[in-house]
Amino acid sequence: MKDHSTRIRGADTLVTLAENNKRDIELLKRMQRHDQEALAQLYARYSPVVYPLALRMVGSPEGAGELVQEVFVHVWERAGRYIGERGSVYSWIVAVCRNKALDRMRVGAQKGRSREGEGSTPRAAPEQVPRFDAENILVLKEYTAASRNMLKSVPKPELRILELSYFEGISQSDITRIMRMALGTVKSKMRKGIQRLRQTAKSAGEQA
Amino acid sequence: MKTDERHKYLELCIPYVFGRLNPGNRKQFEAHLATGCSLCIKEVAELHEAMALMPLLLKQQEPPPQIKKQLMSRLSVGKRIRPEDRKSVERQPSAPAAPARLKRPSSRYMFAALSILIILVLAFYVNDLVGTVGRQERRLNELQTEMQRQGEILAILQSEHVEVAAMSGLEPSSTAYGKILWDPEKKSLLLQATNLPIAPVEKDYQLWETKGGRSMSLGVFAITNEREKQNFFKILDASVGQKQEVQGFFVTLEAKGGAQQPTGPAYLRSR
Repeated sequence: MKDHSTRIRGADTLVTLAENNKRDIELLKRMQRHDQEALAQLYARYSPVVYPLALRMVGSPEGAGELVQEVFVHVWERAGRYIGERGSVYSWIVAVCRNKALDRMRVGAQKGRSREGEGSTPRAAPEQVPRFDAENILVLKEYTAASRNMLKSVPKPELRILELSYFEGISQSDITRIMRMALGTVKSKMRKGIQRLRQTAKSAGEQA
Repeated sequence: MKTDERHKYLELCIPYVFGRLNPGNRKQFEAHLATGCSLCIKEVAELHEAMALMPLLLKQQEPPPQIKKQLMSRLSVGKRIRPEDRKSVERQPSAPAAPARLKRPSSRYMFAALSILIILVLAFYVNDLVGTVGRQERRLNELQTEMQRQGEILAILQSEHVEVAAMSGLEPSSTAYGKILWDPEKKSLLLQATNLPIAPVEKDYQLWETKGGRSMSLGVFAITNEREKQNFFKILDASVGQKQEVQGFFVTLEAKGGAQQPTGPAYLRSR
């Protein structure tokens, strides 16, 4: 069996997650016994995914580094509160990272609004929102056939909407302005995009 | 739960996973999940798994090495136990982590030493205070005695009919002198003496009066220190009588406690 305890790469992570969620749960149990080596292993597995996510959402290497630390401290302190039926350990870690990043972004937005005296300005102007990176799709293609096929089938506008919502924390009403779409269209495309992702996740799980 | 209610909660699953519920709704939804609604839990789980794919769209990148170091040091600061520490802890179940073991005894010893020092200082202070109080009490008693004696002396001096008899020193204390003041109507007299030698421990001075050809004791006293030697006052409870009845006074050195009749050498004699 391939040793996944040191590094994860690309969509291989997806398969590895499904394969090794039980091992992750074991790591959480060891962390409940204050085993720092277990956290080190979990960090080695998922920090290469969590760090880019943090970097993308908070925008600065310093902030991303702090956020990564916060995430794994959170996991360390709440290892006993993980509920397996609500998702894998990996999805929990990612959700923790994203929620903490959103909190930071909201605080930053509040400070920005108080400085500028504005109301509900989106965090980033449309032209400043990074576009979906095709190179990263290639990374996914490279590792998991199921994911590749499913993601290829996701139209770019839907992925773009998911990206704006997920990474930028932009509301659907603001997405309508960015994408120049009606609210109903944005909602519809978002649901379809989520559905595609769900199918991708299921496929990857079945593969594992 | 009714179907329409469950459907209502299902619609909250996506906003929940995307972090778009307001605090109140989020709390309500989490309470609903806590009830064990399998449909919503499954929906949330699948959504979490699906959205966890999103970070995979980003190019993976390892964090700078110092992030891990800082993270692990934060855990250490949080008093978590390192794996390598656990063996030693297991050997001593109640023992804290190694750094704490090194630190606590020294602080304990310091605390004990400080406590002892404080106790010693307090003991010294209390002892000194007790000594001071004792000295002050003795001094107070002395002053009270002195005041009482002064009062009695003044009472004698203030008497309307006070009599005085001067005494001169005899060998072996020719420089000595003294006085006797008394009120014939009261049963007390005041003896004053200067330069009487300090009496030996086994000896006392004894004051006599000569009345009707007989020597009668008026009282016993002792000179015990230089201060008394320089100036001695004593009130004696004795009835001297009228001045014309008294033929004279003298002081002898007798055995401790005095004698029935004068036997020792005379040191003072009235003129």
